[in-house]
Amino acid sequence: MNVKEIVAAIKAEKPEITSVYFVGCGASQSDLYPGKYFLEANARKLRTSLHTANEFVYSTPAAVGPDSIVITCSLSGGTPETVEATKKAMSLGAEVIAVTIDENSALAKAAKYQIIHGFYKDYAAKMEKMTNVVALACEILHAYEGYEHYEDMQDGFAKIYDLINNSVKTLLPRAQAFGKEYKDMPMLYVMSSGATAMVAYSFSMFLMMEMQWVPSSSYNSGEFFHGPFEMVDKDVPYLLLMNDGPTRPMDARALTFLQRFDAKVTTVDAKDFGLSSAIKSTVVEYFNPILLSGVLRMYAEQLSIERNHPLTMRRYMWKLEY
Amino acid sequence: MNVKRDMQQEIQNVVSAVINDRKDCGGIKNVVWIGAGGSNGGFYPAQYFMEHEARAMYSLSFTSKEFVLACPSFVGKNTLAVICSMRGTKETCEAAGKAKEAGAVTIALYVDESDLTTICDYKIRYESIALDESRTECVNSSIALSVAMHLLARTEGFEGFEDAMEAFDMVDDIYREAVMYTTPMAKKWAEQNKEEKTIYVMASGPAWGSAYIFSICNIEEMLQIDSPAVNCCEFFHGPFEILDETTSVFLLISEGRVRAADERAVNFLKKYGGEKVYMLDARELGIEKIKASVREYFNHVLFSPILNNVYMRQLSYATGKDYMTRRYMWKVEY
Repeated sequence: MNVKEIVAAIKAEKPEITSVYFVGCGASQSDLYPGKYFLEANARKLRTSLHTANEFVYSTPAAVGPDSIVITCSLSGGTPETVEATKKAMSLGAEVIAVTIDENSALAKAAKYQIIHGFYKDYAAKMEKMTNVVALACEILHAYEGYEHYEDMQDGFAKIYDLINNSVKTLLPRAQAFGKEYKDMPMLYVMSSGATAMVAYSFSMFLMMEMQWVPSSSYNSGEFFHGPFEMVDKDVPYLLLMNDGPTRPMDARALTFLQRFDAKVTTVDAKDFGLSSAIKSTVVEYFNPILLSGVLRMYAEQLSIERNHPLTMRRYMWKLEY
Repeated sequence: MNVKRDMQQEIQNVVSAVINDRKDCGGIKNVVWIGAGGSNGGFYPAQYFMEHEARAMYSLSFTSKEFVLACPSFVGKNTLAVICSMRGTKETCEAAGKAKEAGAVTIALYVDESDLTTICDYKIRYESIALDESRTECVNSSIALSVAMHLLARTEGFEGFEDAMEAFDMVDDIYREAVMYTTPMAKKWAEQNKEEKTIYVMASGPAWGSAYIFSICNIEEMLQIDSPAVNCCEFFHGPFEILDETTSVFLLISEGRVRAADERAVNFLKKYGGEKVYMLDARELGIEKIKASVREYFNHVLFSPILNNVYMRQLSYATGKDYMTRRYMWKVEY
């Protein structure tokens, strides 16, 4: 079933949904954030929150129940904590939608509905997970409350994959420069705002720490000025993801400060890729994380090549019990 | 020193006034907590409480500027906005203005009067966590938690209310004892970490806000030492790959439903980490003196002042970095 079909089926059976929960681990939790952000920003009645799977299982939010939709996400469909969260949500009577690449996975089998998406084909395909989740959020909102800019969102979904694939065609020199300049960094600070806040988190935790073993922190650009900016000094490495949307002033303020004090800052700016030419301004905000996350993959790849540290290398993951 | 403030009475008065204010137009249906940095982190226990006890009332927290630039559609006449700033941080005052403009009823949490207290409908003065004479139940995060509890008790109902009120009466004594207990341990920890370039802080669930504040405010802002904060559940989905025998990690072990996630981290850190892994258990701080029905919600109330006033200060002494000086904050325009 696709996004529209699933939401229509839920609506037919449960006309009174009051809450939507997004649950996952690691990068899959991060990929849920734009959908959650969209719903939080636009819903008048629907309540929404995002949880790392074990917290959802151990300390389930009070309002999870038959009038909830729970969206759980795991790329492979095998992440044990997320499978368990799926089962928990089902046992509480919620309408559960699993988002994964594998229809035969434990996650898919545990949930009532499944969105099965791609990943391997190209750079854009890696964003199918995130995009499907935003699409679900949009469809749910429109079905239960009506959303003024629904058509603009659909138009965006139709255009975003091509935009990513086109953007990466000319990106290699910049990504290679990033790899060369940052290969010896002792740590990396990653920042963004709005819908893109957890793309920064994801790059920091799962690309830098997990896949490159480089210490890394991420901050919301707004929080930066309330503590973390005291770390700024000449040549301290920063990666700033700039939004083309209402929270851009927060990213711009951070950039001004970083440049003023000579930090080693690289910006990946949605404006540079022409996001607002492809996507309508009414909804462009929600497509920033999809585009930026999509192109960041190339930066990560080039960094790993320069550092001679493959993205797949691990000390613990897949190797030991934990 | 004057008569002890009846903090819970003050809070009850304000919450009653707020509820009364909106009783003729549908009442309070949602609450937003708005602040920046430590003031934002300080709302975490209130938000966590609401998420885990409220069936109908919606609760969300925001960093101030994001609320200004991307204010959610639901904010309106049925919204209570609780906004915190010690001295009137510009974007927090802007956020208060935005909330009011959207129709919300507003409460300011403040130390010094500012535009914030002028803008907001109601105000509650808090006591700075960093001052030794401040009462633990009167700091911003305790007040916010109590506002949440009073609000819930008066709307949907909250079974643990009496146990929580009893806990607020006890927390200062528990804290003072914990200061005595942890000070020698903190001295050793600080000595061990005085040359460290990166100190990871880990926590989960109800203690997460304390980890966030310890990391960005105490270690980074005040001592300019790198400090990534990592959630114990998320740890196993990637960040654990940075761990080796030399890594400095400060782990908060919470009391409550998510303790199992912290214990999983404990086991891994003991096995694959080295001597610079340090663990602080809420049970060591005396959290078990609080009734089990509400104990989990008081993790932050006990952890944060211990981290700010005991551990951070000891690290400041050991490194020779004065925690009152800044490079940029209060000094340059930004």
